[in-house]
Amino acid sequence: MSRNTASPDPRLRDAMGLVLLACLPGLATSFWLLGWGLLWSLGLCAFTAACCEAAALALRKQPVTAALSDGSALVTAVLLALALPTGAPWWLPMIAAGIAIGLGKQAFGGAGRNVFNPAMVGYAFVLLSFPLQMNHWPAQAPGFSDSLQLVFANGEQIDAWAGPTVLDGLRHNHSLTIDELFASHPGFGNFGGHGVEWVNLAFLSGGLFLLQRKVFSWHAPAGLLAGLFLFSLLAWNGSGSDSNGSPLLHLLSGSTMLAAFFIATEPVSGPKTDVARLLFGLSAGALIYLIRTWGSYPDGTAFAILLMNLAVPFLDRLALRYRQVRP
Amino acid sequence: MNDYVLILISAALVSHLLLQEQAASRLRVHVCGLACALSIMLAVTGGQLLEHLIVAPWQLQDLRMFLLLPWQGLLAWGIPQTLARLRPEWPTQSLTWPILGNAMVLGLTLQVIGEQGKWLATLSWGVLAGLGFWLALELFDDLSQRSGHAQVPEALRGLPIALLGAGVMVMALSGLNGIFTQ
Repeated sequence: MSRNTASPDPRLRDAMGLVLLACLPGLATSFWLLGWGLLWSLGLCAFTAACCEAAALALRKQPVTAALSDGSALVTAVLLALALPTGAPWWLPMIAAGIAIGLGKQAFGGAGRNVFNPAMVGYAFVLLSFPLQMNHWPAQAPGFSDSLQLVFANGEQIDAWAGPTVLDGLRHNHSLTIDELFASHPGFGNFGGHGVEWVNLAFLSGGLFLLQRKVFSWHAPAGLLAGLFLFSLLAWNGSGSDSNGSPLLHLLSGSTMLAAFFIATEPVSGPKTDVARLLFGLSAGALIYLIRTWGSYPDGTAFAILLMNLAVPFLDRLALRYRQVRP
Repeated sequence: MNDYVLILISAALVSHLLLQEQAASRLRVHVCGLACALSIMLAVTGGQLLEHLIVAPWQLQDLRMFLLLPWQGLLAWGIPQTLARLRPEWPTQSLTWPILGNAMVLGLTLQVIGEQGKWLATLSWGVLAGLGFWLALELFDDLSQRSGHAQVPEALRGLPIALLGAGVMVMALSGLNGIFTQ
């Protein structure tokens, strides 16, 4: 077999194409909210992911063109770009994409063999390594030239444009009630994060499209949303200054819908049976809430997914036993 | 929290590598996890008892290790023996070294004694750390089974991919940082 002539798996290529199509509403809404920085981040992630994938495949003497044209590296890059702060310096998306492809995917054997979600490996790595740069969320969408300067000129005068997200605001609030936060805090919108609620709804629409096309089953996303809703409902302590936030706020803030429909549904690192997928989603939703509310990070999606990736064999075994004992 | 997680993962990784030297069945991993979990629980609570009964009254703080190391040795010998008597079908051979070389046993015991906490806190630490170690060992076993295939690059097969997996595992567990210190 020639190194560059093998054709990609058509099912994988079609599924990746549909996932990219379903990302478009979320990408467009994120672009409206965050501006040109998202496109720079997307370009840098895609470029680095393609280069790293090609380099790793070439080193392993595997077909390069076929693997690149299946679209899996591009999907990883898009998910990373959507998760990373758009005001981060240029090297941050590049490192994240390099780690995602190199460590998260190719080290474990490439497409169809990754044990962890590659995008989340890259995201968690940069979150732990560069916590300051991972807070560079712009309060307002910067213009074309401003975003270029922010990303490629190492973000001069960060304090002048960076703004806290709704989850940051909720975490560090000790004096204002929820109503006062919604009225005064720039990060809060109508139900969740300012603008982020619309981004979440856009990802929800994309996810429903993928469900309708049967790209994945409903179990993991429904489980994640149910887990997050249930735990935020149980731990909801009203709207006072010590509030943990309402279930609706948690569902429409941060990367909830992106996590539910585009990250938790990754088939390779996720469980193989429906019951296990449901448990995977439920546990991931619970972990996201736990980390958001009591952990050290405002949004725990990446950690929750990676932790649940570790538990996948256990969940599959559990589902198998459940199937055996069920009459 | 991070310190404990790092010690726990490191100790589990070493035990996992020791188990890998022989063909480790799932049952053997379970038995090793249980034995190490028991040794952690008993070492911590027993260490606290030794501190209260012998070290503190006699002011032997500088000689603490001379009591804790034999205690760990006794556990490493006694727990496999006890398990072998209770469950003769279990593979309890050569469990002494994974228990004796377990940094979590001595490290956590010293840490807990140094903090001079209450008995309930000591017991909680012992139980949680023991169960955490068992869980980490199981996760390593699952991870090595999932990454033990021919598609893994040749240069990364075996120990390198186990270390990379451990790195990602620690990254994932870092997300829980802060939760247990509220």
